[in-house]
Order: sequence, then structure tokens, then C-alpha cells
Amino acid sequence: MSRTLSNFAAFIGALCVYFIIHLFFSTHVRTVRNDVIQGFLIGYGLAFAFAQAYARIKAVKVNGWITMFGLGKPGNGMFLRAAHAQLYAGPVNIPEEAMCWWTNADGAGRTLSGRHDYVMHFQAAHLPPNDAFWSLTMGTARNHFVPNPIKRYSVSDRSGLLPNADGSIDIYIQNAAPSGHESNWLPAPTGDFKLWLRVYVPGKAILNGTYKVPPVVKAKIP
Amino acid sequence: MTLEHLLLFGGVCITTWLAFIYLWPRFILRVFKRAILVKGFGDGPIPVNTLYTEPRAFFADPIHPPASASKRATAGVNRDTLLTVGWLNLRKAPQILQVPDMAGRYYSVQFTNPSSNTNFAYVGKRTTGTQAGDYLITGPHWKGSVPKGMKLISSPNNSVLVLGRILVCGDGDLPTAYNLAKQIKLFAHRPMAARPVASTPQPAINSPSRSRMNHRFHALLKFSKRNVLCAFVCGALAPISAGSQSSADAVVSQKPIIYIEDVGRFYKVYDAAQGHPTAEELQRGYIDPGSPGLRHLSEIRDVTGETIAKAIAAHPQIFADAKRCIAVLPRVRLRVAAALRILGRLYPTAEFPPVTVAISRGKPAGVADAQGVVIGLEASCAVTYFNPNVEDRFVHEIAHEYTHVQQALQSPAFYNNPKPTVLQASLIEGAAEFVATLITGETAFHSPYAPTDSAQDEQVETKFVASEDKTDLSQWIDNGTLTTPGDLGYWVGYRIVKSYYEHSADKRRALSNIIIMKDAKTFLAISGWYPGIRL
Repeated sequence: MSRTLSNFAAFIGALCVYFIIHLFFSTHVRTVRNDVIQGFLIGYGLAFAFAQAYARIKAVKVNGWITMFGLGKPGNGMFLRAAHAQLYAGPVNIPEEAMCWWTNADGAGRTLSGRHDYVMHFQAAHLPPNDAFWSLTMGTARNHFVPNPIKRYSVSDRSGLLPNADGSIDIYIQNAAPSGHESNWLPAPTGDFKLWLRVYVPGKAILNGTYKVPPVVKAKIP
Repeated sequence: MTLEHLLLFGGVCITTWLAFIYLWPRFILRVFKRAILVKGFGDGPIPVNTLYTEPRAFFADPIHPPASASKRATAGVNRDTLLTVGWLNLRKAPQILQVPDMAGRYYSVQFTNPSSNTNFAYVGKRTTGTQAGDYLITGPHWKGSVPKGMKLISSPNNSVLVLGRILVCGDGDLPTAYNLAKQIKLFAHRPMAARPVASTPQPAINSPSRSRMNHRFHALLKFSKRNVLCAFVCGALAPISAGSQSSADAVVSQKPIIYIEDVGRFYKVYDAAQGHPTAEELQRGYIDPGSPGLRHLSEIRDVTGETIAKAIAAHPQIFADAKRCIAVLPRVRLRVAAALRILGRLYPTAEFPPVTVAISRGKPAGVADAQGVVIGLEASCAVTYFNPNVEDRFVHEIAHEYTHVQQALQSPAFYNNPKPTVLQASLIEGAAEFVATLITGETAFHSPYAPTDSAQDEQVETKFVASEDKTDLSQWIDNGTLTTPGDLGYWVGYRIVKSYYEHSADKRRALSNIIIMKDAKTFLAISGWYPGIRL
């Protein structure tokens, strides 16, 4: 969920609360019609604000990566289902089938942009544990694919990433090809972008929350 | 503020609040429902109870989606899996999900309850493994027994969103993955019907001779009993393209006339005479007051009171038997009307001369020319060796012949060529089979003369290529015998046409080019077809 939307929801919520408090001290003549119309509008505003707030509470943010656990499971309560609808407006997988994180900020909270070069560093044996596959996919700020000369739109366990000498893996996320590291390049656009990390049939460490997705880090200028 | 007002305001406020929270997932899934059933993803709306797989070209090059791809299709970034989606309605009948052997490949098919946006079941590598299987998906009120060999998925809701994901292991793997994705299929479950025996061709009898303009009803098409009967073809419900046709055409296309009344009149005369009507009774009671289609048949094929009376005397059982085929006519009329409306939408220049189902003189089973299609019910009914389901057979036959009507009207030089090559004749018939399959909503063309696997396809089609320029059709068209199924030209022609259609980005233009084919060689060259191609 975006910050703007959250702020907007907070604003709506505050407006609704202000209105309710105001009602108690209002000396205006009340009619049944007003009660119903205002009740509906205020109720709607509160529902929106509440769902956004609850989504923020339920969302898990680690190293800038946002996800929510337990989505899509039958038996989920109405509040969690509403929160789900705020974060992913669609039928997403249950956690056992796939988990998905996204971020538009680096580990320090700054918006990801193609003006900078980034590295995502997976320590040896710390690629996302899974029984199917994982992938890291690039999207523009509006969530479209990014045209690039090597026609690579994501990196994954299928893209032949080269490990470092110590077995760790660096993924170079930048607009221009990283010389000497082309095999581990995930091309970024020139503007802002978003990243999606998907892990299908995630391992236990992911499901119980102990696996931490490493942050996207601004590359040090050599 | 009085207490009454406070209570009313508070009550409405809290109710609205909770209601919106509760209904939120439902609203979101409603958007998906609309996207699937009304808008589609670029190839027209996706009929209920069918699956749509994202185009291969789109996955291969997501930066340049086909011009037809909708905004929704290009939203989101996913380079891992091919997506296949569908919306189920289980109210009438359960659906069967068929998955192929994925040979260890990761895939999942997710079943989402649209009321709560929660997934009540999965088929896939994690839950069911990657071997082939059939899954019966039933609605909440379904009662019955699960057919042997099927696994049950019981849905809490009659509406279900189905979302399949098939892993693609890289660009080189895309054709394989796509082929597997396309093999995930839905069928309506009809417990009374026997399960189809996988493509064992049934023997064809020596067929009556047939000239180009006088088609023996090619009856002859076996339908899978599991095909999705009421499904409309992708794109079928798309709005008629604006400006491309006059409103008069639109009106015509709304109302293809289908006469079935001649049949009832015939049997009135027939029954009144206890099955032995005289020539005069037939002429007066049946032919003279007949529909334009019957009178046309009468003129061109010598169907008169006299010839019919002779035929009844010679083959009484054919006319007695044909009564069993009458019952399906109202349904056939509805389904043909629907199919022809779809033809009109997909192919706005289609013309709509009437379809007539009447009683002939034992033959012909049907004629198709610029005047329309006339079916001889008794002759068509007698041809039972391919598809015992009379209704399905008739619908397909009429749709097939109606395609010939379009060809006759709009590409007469090609269609009426008196000495066609094997390729030309096969493409004419293949086009009719393909268009019939497309507009009747059959999930696939199940030919009784089709080879049983792709290796055989390759063998047959290599032979086809060798003889495609010959004008001796005897190895390819109308050559079925009691023991060997013939008519392979229909099958190969169908596959060439299908390949052409599937390789075309603009499906409507493709359909138009299929119907008004001008040059067989060029068509073949751009169809992308080759012997043994997997379609």
C-alpha cells in the first residue's frame, strides 16, 4: 500500500472522527434523512480508513520489503480479508503456495530510482528457501516491465546468477550494465522503480518469519 | 442532538462501516469477474467455464504486447509463470478440470471463492503432484457420485475464480510450457454421458458421392462428450466493431432464420397415412406449403411428392427412424442461432441466408449454396456412426455447411473450382471445420478420422505435403470405408487453418482470411503449419 494512500486514509479517518465529535455539540436541527445520509458517508469513510490502518498493522516490513502473511486462507476473518484487499487487490496465493514481497525503497527507506546503482546481497546459502523457485522482478513505478538491451525483466534461480568467491550472490540493480557483472544484472529504468520478490512453495524459514529478505543497498561509489 | 438521532446516525454509520469491510473482497473479485467474462484480455471476453491462457507472444516479449492486449493484461510484472484464468459457474453442472502430465514442472491451479477472496483448493505440484489427472469441481448443493478416477474439489460457492500458473524455465522452454498450459482444460460434467474413449476412430461407411456445391452432410464429426456445450468462443461476445457494418446487416445477423417447421408438417402427413403417404398427399400436404428452403431443395434435387413416396417405399425404416431426431430440433435451432450470431459478430461481412431442416428423399443429407443450407433430417439422422449425440452432430453439421455458404458467396472462384488440388479441397473443408468449431463453442475439433498422436500426425501430414498439388482427391477426401476412416484431408486442412489462426495476432482479420481464402499456397505458407505441429 502506498504512503500517499495511507495518508489519505488517515485524513479521511480524522475527518470522520472530527465530524462525529462535532455532532455531539452541534445545535443544528437534525432530520432522519440527515442521519441516514451522514451515517452512510461517515461509515464508508471509516471503513476505508480502518481497512488501510489495519493493513498497515498487519503488513510485515523487513529491510524495506513489504508483505503480509496468511492471505487467501479460507477462514480468514473479515478484517484480515479487508486488509488483504488493501495490499493486493486480487486473488493472491496462500503462503504455503507462494509468498511475495515488494518494495519501492532501499534498506535506508529512500525511494528506489534508476539514477542510483543498487546491490542486493544474498549471503551464501541464504537465497530464499523454497521447494519450487524464486524470482526478483523489476517493475517501473507504475508496475510495467522495463525495456532493456538484454531483454531481462527478472532474475531468478533460472537465470544463471554467478556466486562470489565466498558463495554469496550479488544482484546488481541499475540502469547501465555493471561491467564485469553482466550475468548478475537486473536492468533498472532511468526513473523510479519497484521490485518484487516471489518465492513459490516457500520453505519453513519463510513461513515462520525467521527468513529476512536482505535489503536493497545503494552501491558504494568506488 | 437527541438520543433518537444519535442512535439512528450511529446505527447507520456502524452498519455501513462493517458492511464495507465485509464486502471489500467481494467488490474486488467482482472487478475480476467483469474483466474475465465481459472484457477479456485482448482476445475478447472469456466464456464462463472456459480457461484462457495468456498469449505466448505476450510472455515472450512483454515490452511489445500484441496490439489487441488489454491494459489489464499488461498490468503487473510476472516473468515466472504463464497465467491461465477462468470463471466457473457450477450451478447447472459440475466442471471437470483436466491437467496434463507436467513431468515435474512446477504449476498450480488455484480455486478462489469470490465472496471472500480466499482459496479453498489447489491442484498442482505442491498439493497433488505433477501427474495428469481429472478433478471434479462441484458446487455447494451438488449431489452425486464422483466418477472413478476423479478427485473431488468441493466448492463452497457456485462461482469460482480459477487461476493457473505454469512455470516457464526460460525463453527456450516457453513453447513447452505454453503447450502444457493449453492442455489444462475444463469440461462440463454430465454424469449420464459415457466417458469418451480417447480418439479411437470408428469405422466410416462408404459415403455417398458429393459434389462441391452439394455436400453430403458431413456428419461426421465426433464431438467429445465432455465439450463445453454452452461455451461461447473467445471473442464471441465482443461488441460488433463499430462502423464496419451497416445497421441492416446487424439486424440480419441478429436473426438468422432457421426453419424446422417442414419436419412437423411432413410427419403429420406421414402419420395420417400410417407411414404410407401417397405422392399426391406428400406434394399437397408437405412440398407445396413448404418453406423457401424446402422448395429450393425440391427444385435442385428433385425432391417431390413422388420421389419421397418412392423413397419411403424403398427404405421405410429411415423415415420411421428419423422421428427420434425430431426431439432435438428446438435445441438445435437455439444453438445454431447462437452460433450464427457469433459468426456475425466475429465476421461482420457474413451473410445470412436461411437454414432449413426438412425431410428429403433419403438423400441428400444436406445442400449448401448461396441460397442457404438445407438439411435432410432423415438422411442426416441415419448417419449415426460418428457422433451418437444427434444434437451436437446437427449443430456442427449446420455450422460447417454454413461456412461453405459464406465461402460460396464471398469467394466463389476459389470455392467452386471444379478441379481443386488436395490442398485447396482440404483447406475449404478444414476452414469449414475450424469455423464450425469456433462458432459452436466446441472446445476442439474432434475428428473421427484424426490420427491418435502427434507422431501419426507427422506421418500423415508428410504424406499430405507430398500430394498437396495433385487433383486426385481420393486419398484425402470422401474416401472412408467400412473399416478405415478416411477424410484425412478434413483433418489436415483443419490443422493448417487452426495453425494460421493461432499464429495471427488479429483474430478477426484471420477469420475473414480463412473464410475468403484466395490462394491456398500463400495461405499454407503463412499459416506456420508444418507436418506434426502441435496445436
